[in-house]
This record gives sequence, C-alpha cells and structure tokens, in this order.
Amino acid sequence: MNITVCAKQIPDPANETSYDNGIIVRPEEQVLDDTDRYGIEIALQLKEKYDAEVTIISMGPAGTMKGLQQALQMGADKALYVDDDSLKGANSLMTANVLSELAKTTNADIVIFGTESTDGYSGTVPQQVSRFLNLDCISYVKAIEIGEDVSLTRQTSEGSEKVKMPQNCVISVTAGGVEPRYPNFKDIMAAKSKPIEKVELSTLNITTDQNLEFISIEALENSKNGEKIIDEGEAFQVIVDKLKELKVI
Amino acid sequence: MAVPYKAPVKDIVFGYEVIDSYNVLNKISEFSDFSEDIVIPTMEECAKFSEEVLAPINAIGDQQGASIENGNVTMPEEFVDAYKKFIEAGWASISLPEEIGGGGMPITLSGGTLEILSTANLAFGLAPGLSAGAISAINFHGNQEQKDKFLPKLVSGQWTGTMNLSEPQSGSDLGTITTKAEKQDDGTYKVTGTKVWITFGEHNMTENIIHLVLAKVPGSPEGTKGISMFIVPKVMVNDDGSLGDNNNVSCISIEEKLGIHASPTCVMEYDGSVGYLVGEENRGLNYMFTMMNEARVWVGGQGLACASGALQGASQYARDRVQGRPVGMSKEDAKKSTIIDHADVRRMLITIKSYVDAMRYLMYDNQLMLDLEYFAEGELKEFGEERCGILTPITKAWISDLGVELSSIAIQVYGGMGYVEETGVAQYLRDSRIAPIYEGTNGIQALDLMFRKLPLDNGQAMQRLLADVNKVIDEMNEGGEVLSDLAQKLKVEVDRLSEVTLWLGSKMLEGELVDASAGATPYLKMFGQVLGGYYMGKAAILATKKLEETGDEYYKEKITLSKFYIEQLLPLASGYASSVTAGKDDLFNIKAESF
Ligand SMILES: Cc1cc2nc3c(=O)[nH]c(=O)nc-3n(C[C@H](O)[C@H](O)[C@H](O)COP(=O)(O)OP(=O)(O)OC[C@H]3O[C@@H](n4cnc5c(N)ncnc54)[C@H](O)[C@@H]3O)c2cc1C
Repeated sequence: MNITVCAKQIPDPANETSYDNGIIVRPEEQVLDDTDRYGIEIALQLKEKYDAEVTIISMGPAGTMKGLQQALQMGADKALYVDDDSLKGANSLMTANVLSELAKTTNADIVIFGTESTDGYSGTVPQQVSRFLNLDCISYVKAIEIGEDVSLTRQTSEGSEKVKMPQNCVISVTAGGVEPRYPNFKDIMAAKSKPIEKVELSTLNITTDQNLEFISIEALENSKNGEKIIDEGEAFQVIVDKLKELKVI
Repeated sequence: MAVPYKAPVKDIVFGYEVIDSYNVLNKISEFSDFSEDIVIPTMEECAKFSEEVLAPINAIGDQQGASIENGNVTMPEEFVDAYKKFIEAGWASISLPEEIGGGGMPITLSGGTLEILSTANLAFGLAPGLSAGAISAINFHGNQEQKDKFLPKLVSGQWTGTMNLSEPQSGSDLGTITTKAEKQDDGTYKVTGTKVWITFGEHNMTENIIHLVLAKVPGSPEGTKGISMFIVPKVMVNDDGSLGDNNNVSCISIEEKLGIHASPTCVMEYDGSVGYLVGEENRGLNYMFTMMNEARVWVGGQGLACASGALQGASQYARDRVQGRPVGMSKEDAKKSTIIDHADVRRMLITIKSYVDAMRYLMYDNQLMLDLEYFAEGELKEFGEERCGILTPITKAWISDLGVELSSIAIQVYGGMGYVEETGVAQYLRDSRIAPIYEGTNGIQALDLMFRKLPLDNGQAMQRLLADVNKVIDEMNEGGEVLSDLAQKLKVEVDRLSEVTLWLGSKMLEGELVDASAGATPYLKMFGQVLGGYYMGKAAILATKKLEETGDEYYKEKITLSKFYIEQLLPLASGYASSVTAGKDDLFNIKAESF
C-alpha cells in the first residue's frame, strides 16, 4: 500500500509572519506545519498495519528543506516536492491540482492531509484533491481505530460519526485527534539519508488556471474594546455583577 | 506562572563550535562524520520534546513529588506518561554503543541533550541518568550472561537502574560500608544491608529496577580495598527474560527534601536478596571509578541547567515588570520602561548569562575529552585521559556551585515574586542545591584536584593545560584591538594561577599537606574562574570571525559576553589566591566548640 501525506513547510510560527503584497514572505528555513504532524501520525499508524510506504508530498519554496526533514524524522520514507516560481501565491485549486498530480506519481492508495495549513487556512485543498483523484474524501477525521478493519471517526456538525476506511480515499485529519509521535533519535539520524526528490512542474499535467486575484490585505480591527475596571477595593463586586449579567454565574 | 521553557539551541550549537568538537571528533574513526548535521537536528528535536513534554510537568513534580505507601513509591501520573514517551523517543541512549542498542553517538553529543533535558525537568532526568551509570557498569565489567540478561531492557529504558553506594555511616568515605554479600553454592550471593539516599530506588514508572550495590564479602580486606559490586534486581529475571519472584528488596522510606521532589530518595533494605557479582570480588570501587567521570560531568551539567532555566524566567520577568524610574531616563520614557532598564538588573542578568556560556563550554569540552579517553588511540587517548582528569572535578564543583549562586541571583531579579513559588524560579534554586553534594561533595572534588590531579605527571599535566590557555592568549593577541585587550587581562589571571599552582606543588613536596588542603576549595574556584576565561576567550575569537562572515548581531553579543566575563568576572580569580596560600592556621586556631 502507498500512503501519501501532503505536508507543508511554513515559516516558524514562533517568529512574526511578514507579508509582501499579501503573500507570505518565506524564509530559507521553514518548518513542518504542526497541523501536518497529525496526518503523518495517522499515516505511520497505517504503515505499521499494512507495511505501507509513506511518502510526503509538498508544494512551495523548498529552502533548506528542514520541514521535509522533520516529516522524515517522524518516520515517513521519502519526500517529493514541487518548487516553481510560477506557483508563487497559487490559489487552492492550483495547489490541489499540483498535489493530485504528485500523488499520482506515488501511486497513492490513500492521501492524507491536515485539515488546513497554519499559514493559509483555506481548508479546501483535501476536498479538491479528492475530486481530482476521483476518490472518496473523509474529512475532519479526529480518531482512528486500527483492528482487523480500520475505522475513522469524523467530526460532524452534529457530533461525530464512525466510518470504515476504504482501501482508496482522501483523508483530512483535525488537530488533536491523535497524538503525533516525537521522532525517535535513531529516526532523526536515519532521516538524513532518506530521499527527498524535486519534481519539475513541467512534468506534471496541470489543467487549472491561476484564477485568483489578490487585491489587498488589511489588519483586522478589534471588534470591541474591553472595558477597564479600576480596582479601588471593590473591583471584585463589579466583576461578579458583570458575570451575573452575562449569566455566566 | 512559570515562563514556558525554550531551549537555547543556537547557544548550544555555538558551544559545539567553540570547543572545536567537529575537528577533534573527526579524528576518531567512529565519529569521522560527526558534524553540525547531527548536532542541529538532535538539539532541535530534543528541545521540542523537552519543551512540550518535560518542562510542563516540572512544577507538578515539585509540588506533588513522589509519595510512598506500604513500600510502594508512586510518581505523579504525568511522570509515568512522560517516561513512556521519553523512552519511545530514545533520548536516554544516544551516546551508548550501538552493539547494546544505543545510538552510537559520542558522549559530547549528550552534553547538549543533557543540558536541555535537565533544564526542562531535573528530577525526571535523574532516573535515566542513574540508569546510564548502571548500564556502563554492566557493559564495562559484567560478563556476557549479565549483559544479555540486563542490558537490552536497561538500554531501551523498559527498566531503570540505580547506584547503591551510601550507607548511614558511609558517605564520602565508602571504606566503612557494612552491607554484606555471602557467596552461595550456585555462584550467586546473598546481599543483606541497608543503603540510604538511593535515587529512584523505587518507583512505578517501570516494571523492574536493576540495582547496582556495593557490598563486602565476608573475609575481604578492610576499607576500600574490600568492596565488591553486585547486580541486584528488584524482581528476579528468568532465563527467558520474563519476570520471576520479588527479590526481597524493599524501600523503607523516602526523604522529605529541599528540592528534586519528583526524584524519590530512598532508604533501601536488602534482606538476603540475590546478587550477581560484577567482575571480580574486591574490585567494586575501581569499577565505580571508571564511571565516575561521566557522572560527575553530568552533575556539573545540572548546575548549568538550573542557571540557564532560571535565567530564562528572570529575563522575561525583567522585560515585563514595571517598577521605578531608571537613572537618567525621562519621566515620559520611564512610563514604558521595565526593570530591565535598570543597570543593576542588567548586571544580574549579564552575570548569569555569561557564566552560563562559560559553564557550557567547560562541560562540553570535558565530555569531548571523555570521548578521546574512551574512543581515541595513542597520544590522543592519553591526552583525553589526562585532560579529563583535571577538568572533571572543576566541571563538577565549579559549575554546580555556580548553579546555586546564579539561580539565587535570578530570584533577586524578580524581587518578591522570585521568593514565592508561583513564578517557578525558586524551584531552580532548590533543585540546584543537591548538585554540590552528591557524586562526591564539592569539598572532595577540590581535594581530588589538588592531591590527585595537580601532581599528575609531576605537575606537567597541569602545565600543559596552562600552556593551552596561553596559546589562546597568543591567538587573541593576533585578533585585533578588542581581543588583544582581553588577552592581556586573561594573561594576568593565568599567571597568578600558575604561581599559586607552583606554591601548592612545593607545599606538597615539603609534606605540608594540611596547609595545601586548607586551600583546596579556593584553588578549585580560582581554577574554574580562569578556565571560564579561557573558554570565553575562545568564544570571542570564534564570534569575531563569525561576525565578519555573517554580520549577525548574535555574534556581537557573544563578544560582549566574553568581554564582560573577562573584564568583570574573571578578576575574582586573583581574589581567591590569598585564600589558597593562607595555609591552615586560622582555620584551626578556633576551637571546635567555639564555632
Ligand atoms: C538527594 C540525594 C540523592 C542521592 N543519591 C544517591 C544515590 O543514588 N546513590 C548513592 O549511593 N548515594 C546517593 N546520595 C548520597 C550522596 O552521594 C552523599 O550524600 C554524599 O556522598 C556525601 O556523603 P554524606 O552525606 O555522608 O556526607 P559526609 O561524607 O558526611 O560529608 C559531610 C561534609 O564533610 C565533608 N567531608 C567529608 N569527608 C571529607 C574529607 N575526607 N575531606 C574533606 N571534607 C570532607 C564533605 O565535603 C561535607 O561537606 C544522595 C544524596 C542525596 C542528598
């Protein structure tokens, strides 16, 4: 079985993000999006069951490839990426197109995503990829049970539902559903010799247009300023009254 | 709330360059490809693990501690869970040989990981730390059967190990231990006696604990020459590796203590427990010595860890706390200022920060010398052995003393909020206080430096170290105005240290041993202070080069830290000189009852 996990390298969230004309400025060194660790964890659990190969696929400026290395350190077997200037600021449909084509090159049976990237937040790529690949999409997976069969529990607007995992599908995983493993020291060392391969965009069958126009970016205004309560010995009473008013207590 | 721990990975990686670890280790065939490509990902992932798993439960361990009921020691639940994750991630075994399931990395690599793990949670780290001692003992001196039976699960962390030396009447002097081991017909021994202060002697994180116990076989020579070492499992291990019966090993009580509350300190009773002799009878203490250097360097590292952790909290607090108008600041500006704008607060912070750097370089270099001693050949091996001998007591004592002092300064930065438990900084002071005591008290380290290390090769070993310091001074003299200015200041202190060393040497030759011993502790402190200057000089040379190459402000600050150390902290070294040479008279001219 081939399992493919789409993972994104993003600027280290510990640092402040900077934008150039609405597009995130990506430093040479980017890290693995924490959201993707959940998807990788599920892939690694499935790997143990099916003796599958786990491939990381990624689109975006490769830089030092630290984020991809981090994915390999967790235990994935190899990584493929597309890094092409023409994809700068790509919309989600274009991204889905590129990732679908990459997934095809790995003969993926199962394609796994985090729910949405920490720097982009579009949250639509997994569904779009499932259409490109003509596979069922099981979105918002929050738990996995591996027995004889594999069942997935997905978050729904009403609560949750359990589905049996088909042999071929696209899965998007919510954060917090599983506990991503910490890389084992030996895996950290082994990752250095795992293959990371660049795929040229020109070799992929891209059928969509870059049909998104960027207009502007503005900082969100605070919708409401908080109220300042000056404590002259009675502040606690004011707060209690407020909380009562809000029916919190 | 305590400030979330963020491991100083960049500083750690810089440390590996300061001590020239890559070039030195590449001379050893096993480590010929040791490079930044190994160090950086290792430190980053160890940092992530420690920040997310170990640091958040440090305060829980402190407040809840370990508890005992009916001889069973219970750890806080979070520790049991964290230990499971810890062994899955394999951090305990990176520097153990590959043949026994370790990561096969140099000991030097565990300098950084030990620093990170210990800062995140000192008490937690003691469990795998003591296991490491037991593993080395069995690996170096055990027979094949013992290795096969005990090592795999100790190395994987499935079981932990302990070191049982101390008894109520035997602390610094182990010659007086009374635990006895009687030989049985089947070749095993029956071990009977009481051991005290046994770290992680009992706990519920693993299903078995392998105790290494020092005991005397009846009829063996008096004193330290008659001590043997035994493997005594808590639960017997069958030949197929499964667990058998309990082995009459019990934990009678655990100590209430100042710090490291989540590390149970146990009184252990052995009541005819089955013990397996390690190596030969009466060689137990010699075997201990082979592992001692590693353990002592680790304990020095604990001082570094506490100081480094306390600094993080203190510097964050100083950036947040608004109080007082800094001298020379306008009223308007003062509204936005915090206590970090007061010169005195800055002095405290930079004092801790530059000591932390100096301590780190010393500790890592000591480990590098251990690698040479264990893995190199010929002259390089001899060099490692000699240098390691001198550095180890200094790493252990100078750094662990500073750990306490600097954690205390960090509390001072907070003011009252440092003294209350809520901010978490007080825990570093309490936890750090054990390091000057165990693994040979710092007083014993000072005597070791003076009576065993100073005379090595008729004092030539010491001279070679001082010559290396002078080489760095020469290099600094070639490195431009700032460096050559610092070189002169370093020179003054090294020369003073050389004089004092000669004085001590001659006292010892004259047989005035009490006079010499009276100066042991100030001598060790002076030595540490000067070695700090040596490493900070090396750091300044490297940072100057890197600054030119990269223009990164970070290196400018490194130069400032070296400058501060050499100009403002190093001169304390000379201050010790008069205590070193004062002799014994004043100390003994006060009657014991007058104290
Ligand atoms: C929390 C904790 C954990 C420990 N863990 C372990 C463990 O896992 N295993 C284990 O075996 N032990 C352990 N110990 C014991 C520890 O190693 C001893 O406490 C230490 O060796 C000192 O022995 P002592 O306490 O008997 O002090 P003493 O030896 O009585 O020393 C008291 C003082 O006298 C000084 N002194 C003693 N002899 C000399 C001398 N010859 N010259 C100059 N000064 C001297 C010492 O420096 C010290 O200041 C632990 C102790 C503690 C507190």
